[in-house]
Amino acid sequence: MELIRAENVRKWFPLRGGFLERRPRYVHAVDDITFAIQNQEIFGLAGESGCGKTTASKLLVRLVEPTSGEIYLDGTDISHLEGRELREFRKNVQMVFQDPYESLNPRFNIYDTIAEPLIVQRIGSPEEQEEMVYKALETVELRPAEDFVFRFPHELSGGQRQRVAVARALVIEPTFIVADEPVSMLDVSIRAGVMNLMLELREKFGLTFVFVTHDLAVSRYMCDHIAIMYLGKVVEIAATEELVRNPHHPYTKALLSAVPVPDPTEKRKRIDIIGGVSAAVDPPPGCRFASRCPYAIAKCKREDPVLKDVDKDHLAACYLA
Amino acid sequence: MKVLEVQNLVMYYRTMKGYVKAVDNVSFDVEKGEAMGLVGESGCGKTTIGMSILGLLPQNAAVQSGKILFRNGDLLELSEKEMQHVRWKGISMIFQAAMNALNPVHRIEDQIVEAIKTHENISKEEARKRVAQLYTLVGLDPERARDYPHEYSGGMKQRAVIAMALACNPDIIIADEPTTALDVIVQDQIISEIKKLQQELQMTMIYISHDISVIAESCERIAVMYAGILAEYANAVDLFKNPMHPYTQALMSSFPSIKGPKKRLIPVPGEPPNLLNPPRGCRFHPRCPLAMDVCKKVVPEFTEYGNRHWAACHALG
Repeated sequence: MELIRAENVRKWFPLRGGFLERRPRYVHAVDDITFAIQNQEIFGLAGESGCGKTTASKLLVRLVEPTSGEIYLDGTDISHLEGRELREFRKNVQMVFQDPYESLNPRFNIYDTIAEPLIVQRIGSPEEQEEMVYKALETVELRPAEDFVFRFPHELSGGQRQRVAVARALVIEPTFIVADEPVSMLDVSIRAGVMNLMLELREKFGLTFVFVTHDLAVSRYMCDHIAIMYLGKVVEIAATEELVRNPHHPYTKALLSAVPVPDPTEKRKRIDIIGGVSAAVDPPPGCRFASRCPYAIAKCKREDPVLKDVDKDHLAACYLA
Repeated sequence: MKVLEVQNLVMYYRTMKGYVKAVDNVSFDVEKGEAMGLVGESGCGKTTIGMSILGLLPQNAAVQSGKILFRNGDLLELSEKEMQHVRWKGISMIFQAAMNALNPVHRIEDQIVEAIKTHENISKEEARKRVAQLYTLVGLDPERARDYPHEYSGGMKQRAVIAMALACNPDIIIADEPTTALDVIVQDQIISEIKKLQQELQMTMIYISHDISVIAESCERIAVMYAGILAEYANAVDLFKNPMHPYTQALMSSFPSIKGPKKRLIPVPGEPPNLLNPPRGCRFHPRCPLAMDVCKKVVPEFTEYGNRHWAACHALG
């Protein structure tokens, strides 16, 4: 069953131009993306820095309002909610941020940190709130909870802080959590624990996750579907193993071939692509990847390819796919 | 032939709360022409070792004991003045370019020329010519040598930093997280560039990273560090095929891969210790699945288990 649907969503950020500049210029952070997220799945948004994955994730929780297009949660259009309706909507969605050293208020102890969403959303009496905070701490395996409630973030390690951030997201029992690079600041030995925790939470509470990351090995481990983004566009979406084994878009192929493998005997075949990612300011027409693509044909520079079925449960935006 | 030998290095940082035991009894050697990897999590002491070799430790660092042998002498006994001769010409470093390795107000060419001229008695013209050669070598356009750092992309800056490290033709290059702040594709380009240069120029390298996949692809021998101690040191293929130390095993089973069958990751229980007061005996014992009584009391010896495969663990008998 489909839980979230984004249809032709755009987010353009205006650039403050010079005094003599007549036409305002825009950063096309997210440019016409369409995808659907199934209930209880972990949906990955992956790509290099500046590809729009963070903006896309913020659009889904409405920290950012789309310039155009619609976002549906359970069939309701949430793209332009305001005021009380927006607050109601936020009961269903929560976010976990990348850096647990910055996302927790250093002056709030762990109890206040986790209780805050309950207070903001006016859920439960003080006694009920206390119970919920303790339960959330137990759920993220910060046990015994009594040992943690009166501590401050600086007394916790990075892994523990990220668990607090997860507990804060869980406490109001949302249906849907967006996690933006939630493990990229953590050390390897700690990271696996936080990833397994999120997988268990999905099983236990039937949560739906959007998992944003630049690390394809991590997204392969976590996600059911992965959408690869490039300069504001979704270039390919498929079930994880299908995408990893059978990529169609040249950019996805290049990206996958660039991931280092923890095996010294593995000889990777590299796909060389030229240059770097260009800026997303008023991009020229055609495929965003055309200037770096080794297979580009004339049409690629004229017309923007749209996402189309290339295989079962597999979409790609490329004329040659 | 051994180019560099670190013997029983013990390095502490003085702090208000006592000594942080950052590096404890670490020994390894680097052979000519090989790429040696130092891998471990944050705070395990890998950068401290790099900085000790270059004599770039902060004021509050105190070498307690040990030797770093290079060119028939102990680097730890050299004065600052003598050390200046070793840096760049003897041992140079590739820093993480994103971390302000380049001065933003000087042209890149001038910065490299300055490094060359400090160490070699050659004219500015010759130094400039060498910069152009270095640029070609690392895959940059020599025409752009007179640009400022902000005109470069992340990958180009990293290439310029590599050119700088090569400038005086050093015996050893230490690369400290050279690709960490870069995007996947650019990271891959830099990794293969470093590898190509290392093989072409028969460069001796010490490659420091937290990422075992990057180390696996770049190094012939790998030293795994944990909380200031060396857990294991072996040939890369041996280490991945037959990891001996429980920490190395744990590290490998908690690391996801894009290739091969999808395996469930096994996290390492607990947290890395505070090095102000590290656990007695083996520093890994509180998190170790194989811990025995002896592990809590006695520091395991770093022992060779055939074919230059070293590990420090009581469970190996």
